Amino acid sequence: MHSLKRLVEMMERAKKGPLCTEKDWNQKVVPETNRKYLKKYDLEHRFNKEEPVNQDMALADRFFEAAMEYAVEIGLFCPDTERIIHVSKPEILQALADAPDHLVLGKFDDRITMRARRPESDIPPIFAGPLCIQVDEDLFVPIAEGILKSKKVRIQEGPAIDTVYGRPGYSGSPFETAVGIRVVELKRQAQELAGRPGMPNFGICSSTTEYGNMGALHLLHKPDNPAVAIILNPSELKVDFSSFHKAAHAIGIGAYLDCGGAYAMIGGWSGSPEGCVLTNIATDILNFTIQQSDVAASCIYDMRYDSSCSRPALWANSIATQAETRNTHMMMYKLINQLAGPCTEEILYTSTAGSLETGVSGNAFQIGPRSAGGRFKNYLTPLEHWFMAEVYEASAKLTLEKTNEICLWLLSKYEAGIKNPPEGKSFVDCFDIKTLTPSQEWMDIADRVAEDMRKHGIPIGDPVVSRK
Amino acid sequence: MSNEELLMNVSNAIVVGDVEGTLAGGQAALDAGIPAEDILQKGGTHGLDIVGEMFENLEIFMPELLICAEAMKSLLAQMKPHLKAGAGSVADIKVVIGTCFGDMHDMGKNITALEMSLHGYDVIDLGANVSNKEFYRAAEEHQAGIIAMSALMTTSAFYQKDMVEYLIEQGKRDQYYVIMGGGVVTERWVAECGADGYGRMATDAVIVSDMLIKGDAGPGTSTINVFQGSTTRADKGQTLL
Repeated sequence: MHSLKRLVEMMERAKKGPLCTEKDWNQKVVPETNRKYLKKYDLEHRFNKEEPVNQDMALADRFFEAAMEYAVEIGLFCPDTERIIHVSKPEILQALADAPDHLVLGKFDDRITMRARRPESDIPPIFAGPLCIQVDEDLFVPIAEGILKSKKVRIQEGPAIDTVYGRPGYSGSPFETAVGIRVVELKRQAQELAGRPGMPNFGICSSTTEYGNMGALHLLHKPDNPAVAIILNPSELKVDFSSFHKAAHAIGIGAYLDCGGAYAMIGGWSGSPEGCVLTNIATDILNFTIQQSDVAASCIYDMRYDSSCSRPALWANSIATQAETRNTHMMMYKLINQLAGPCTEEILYTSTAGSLETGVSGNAFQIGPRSAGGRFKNYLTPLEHWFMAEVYEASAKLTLEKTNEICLWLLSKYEAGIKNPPEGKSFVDCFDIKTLTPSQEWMDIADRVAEDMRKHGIPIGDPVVSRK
Repeated sequence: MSNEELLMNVSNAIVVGDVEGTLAGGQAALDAGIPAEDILQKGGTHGLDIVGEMFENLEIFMPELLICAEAMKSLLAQMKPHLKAGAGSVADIKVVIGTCFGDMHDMGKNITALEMSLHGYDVIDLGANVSNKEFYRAAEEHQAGIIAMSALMTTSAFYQKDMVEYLIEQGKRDQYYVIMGGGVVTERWVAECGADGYGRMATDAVIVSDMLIKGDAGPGTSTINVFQGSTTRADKGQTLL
């Protein structure tokens, strides 16, 4: 059960904890503490490029043990007060014990139970989509309706709008509050049109600061269909006042909390792939303890490409997930940043690598894909969501060993071009807006890649839902 | 010791972030009569190239880059009095950098600040969630040459466009180069904003800034785009892409 009192206690620690400048935190505290635990637990230079999906479970467990000690020593940094929020090991253990091992979401035909999973679990993981990618207001409903045509898309999160009635939706302003309310209206319309009024919801997309969430999460939340609040922290091992605002509001209305969005960057303050694994696990368990997450959403990116699909990032996300799912019942996902846009083979190959690697390692759910890396407005279509939903559920039928073999093959398809991903096409350029069907070109690409997948042992159905 | 060896000493000291070694190497090279411009280029910049390659190969990371940046800064300061007129470095150029208002994401901005610092710019990092007023005041106070704005969300990127419009309204558009980057920022958006430069990656921001500072075009006259090291330029009024 959430406790507002406990959250306030953590807020007080953000006001009264030890002082530290943000510069010192980034440049000294995180790198030095991280290195100390990598060394202490003999975790340096463990990345194996032949195993983008980690196969060594003892190593995963050692990472978890190290991350637990690291989390107790380091805590989370609050940039608003430039203070550190520390928690004790008993507090962490209690929070992890209190964390839910399942959530019942949605109603009617769309009621689902999200469950904690372990590596090689045969429980199908839950696919949610789309991410909060910006679209024109007049395209929101058709794009969302199209995505929801796949019943394997079991939770709706996005998309996002950056305008409201044609005006810019400036973050941190009253426009953002209005955007939040408008997003809920548009989601409801899309769900009604898709015949899925009972769908579970994550929200609020377009809430860059707390305004969007506080203006509209209560509109998305229903006692018989609880919403999950998206609470994105500024970066790894940090929590700010905006996140505390969102957490307090979500607790107040009885919603669930999805805390994270804080990416450990390979090449960044945590340094190596191994350092990022430590930081990622520590960030998750601290989010559960300090913000009372119900589900977590931190992950590991490769700074060189802004991607989670590079070889070291695949390995790091897989072993971090294994460490967490073998040692706790936390439910989480690791975001996949595909970079390539719709109507390309690359988005499907990278979606598959990320989906399989996280799914087989025990993630409970996945939200995606981040079409074209989220860089271009309207660059998302239903088809890559349908495809990814198929692939993600298929991960429950695979072993770690087989998934590693598949990921090595997938890397051979996209790794060389990861630095210059193709932009692809926008929704209007490869989808029929009236019939919500893909262009022949986009369907042919999906069919070709799906056939390729089946040949390599990935048991997926027809990815073109509109054809079924 | 040959000139090549003297310059190599400078490069090696930069690579390991040894400030004292860099200064000693720099002085030895000056004493041997090597022009300051060559010491910076064939010693310092060559060292940075090696550092960049090591970062690309995941041999070093941001904390190590910071140390290298300090060594490079010390070399720039040491060489400054010895540079010929007109061959000035970017060390005099102040860059005011931050993430736009309502946007708490700081990693991309941090990397960019570090890369610019590494290449000799005097960087004033305003942090995340920075209002346009704060950007403007800091630029005025520090007499900045460049205002660098990062945005990860389209709703915070709107403030980038407002910034350019605000500078025009204040009659200050010709005083500051405005460069932009961030997850959702594209060449098209930067052109729409009327900014001077766009960099996809942190290293691209350095290339953009170097081209602006060392080029002939004043602020507000053209836009330079750099995507993963590839450069395009558009004069105002031209259509991009």
